[in-house]
Amino acid sequence: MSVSPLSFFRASPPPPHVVLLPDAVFFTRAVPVTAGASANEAATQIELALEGVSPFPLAQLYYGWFWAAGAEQALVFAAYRRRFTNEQTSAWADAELVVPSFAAVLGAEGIEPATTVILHAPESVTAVHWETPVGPTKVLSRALEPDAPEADRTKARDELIAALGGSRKVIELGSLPVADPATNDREVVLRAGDFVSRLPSGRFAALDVRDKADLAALRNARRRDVVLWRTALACVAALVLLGLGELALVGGRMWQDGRLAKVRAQKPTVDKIMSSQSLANRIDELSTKRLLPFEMVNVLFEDNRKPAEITFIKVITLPQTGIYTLTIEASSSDAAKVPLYEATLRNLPMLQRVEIRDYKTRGETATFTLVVTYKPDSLKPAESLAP
Amino acid sequence: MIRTLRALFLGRLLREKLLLLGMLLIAVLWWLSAFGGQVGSFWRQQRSATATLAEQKQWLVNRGPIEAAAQKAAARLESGKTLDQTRLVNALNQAAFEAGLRNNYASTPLPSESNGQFTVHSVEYQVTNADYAMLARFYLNLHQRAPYIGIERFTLASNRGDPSKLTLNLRVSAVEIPR
Repeated sequence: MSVSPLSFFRASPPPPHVVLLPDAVFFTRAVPVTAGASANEAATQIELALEGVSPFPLAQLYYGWFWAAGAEQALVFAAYRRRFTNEQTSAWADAELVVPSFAAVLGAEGIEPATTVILHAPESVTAVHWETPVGPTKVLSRALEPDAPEADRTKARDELIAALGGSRKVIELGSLPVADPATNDREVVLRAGDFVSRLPSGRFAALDVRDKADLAALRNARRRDVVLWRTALACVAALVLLGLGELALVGGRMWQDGRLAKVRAQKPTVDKIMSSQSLANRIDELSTKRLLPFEMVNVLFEDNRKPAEITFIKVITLPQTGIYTLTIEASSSDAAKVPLYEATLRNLPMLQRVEIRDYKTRGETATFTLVVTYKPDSLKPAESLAP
Repeated sequence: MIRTLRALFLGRLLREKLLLLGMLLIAVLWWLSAFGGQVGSFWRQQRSATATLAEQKQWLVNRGPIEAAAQKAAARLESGKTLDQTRLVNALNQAAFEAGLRNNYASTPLPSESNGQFTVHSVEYQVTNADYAMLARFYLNLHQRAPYIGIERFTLASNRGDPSKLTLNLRVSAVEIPR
């Protein structure tokens, strides 16, 4: 039977990799912690206390502890490192949490005072006892052969309960708790039947028995991996947004095509209107605003205003300067006459502006461009023009 | 699903994570660059279309007044006295002849403009090697036909060899209103 490719996505996330170590190889102690100690102070006190009670230095131990903030005692647990083979420890490398089996129940909620939790593992029976709901105070374990008869297991259980003394409630777990699928990073939920234990991720550093330096390196690697994951997620989100953007662009182009079609459809009509406007302006100019070039030139000559030394080479009207402006390229055999002529023209009442441009001299001669602007309506069409 | 993918991603080797992330980053940058170009192009096109539509709307809104103004301008002219291209050239030649000019003038017709109701004809007209008095007479002759003939551009240049001889270039227009 083939498996749907979507089944991967439909599947719930895998449970976190929690390694539960045999309880029998750990010794446990309740050690005092100063009231009001911070987590760091508590860690220091716990490690000092452990060094005091352990026959081995800390460097030769796999150890951890359970301490509830504000509690005046902590439950510390440790095992001699040589109790574990290299094969066993190498399997811990990618684990989320490595703890003795009994630590799996330390996150139990709603524990009443004087409660004992009995944990049945194939190779041991362990009893975890709470005198107060704040945290466990005693942990006792009996090693068993994996194929030990039920009677031996029951006997060991009864001995443990008797050794703890004063248990008002006993919760018996037929198997070790198993981690639920990871739905968040804040906690690991372990479940054995109806029994639920929630271990917050903030406690992992204390609970985990692995070498503390290795653990710090693992946490850093984990943080780096989470950053990489979030960056990858952001990239995927960006790709999705870009995909949506492309779709929006397709929609935008369709909208734009509609507008361009409208522009094309309106163009002939608009061109006709523009043409009407242009032609109306031209008819208006032909009728009312006539270009009077000879009249304008005559103003520059009449009454012998122009010195004989000055010769007009070219007289033009330019569309960009309008119908009231003449541009004259001229030369003079006597350069001194040019400013005099300019002054004469400036005094004429019908001239609005007189300007000399590109004035160049060579010896006595000069070339220049004279730009003369007449006042609108200062000129009338001539009946005759003097030569 | 995200948690499943997350577990899958976090379970990979570091080099696999970096490879996947690198590919994703390249894909994002590549697509982003191409998308940015497309958005820029689309934005310029839509702005241009918006401006064109706004301009067209303005013209369409003013259609009535513009056509009325054109009609009003044309109404100033008597259709019988308006000139088509041929009659315009003939009128120019006649004005030149009456001014005493002989065989030293030439005309070049320019494309006509029409809005369907009336047409504006234009001609480039050149008179060469003429003295000022003849050109002035020619000009006054043209003026008598105003406003049916109008001068739009004017250039008067003296000849290099003989400054008393002049060359006149005119752009002359006439409106034709069909009878």
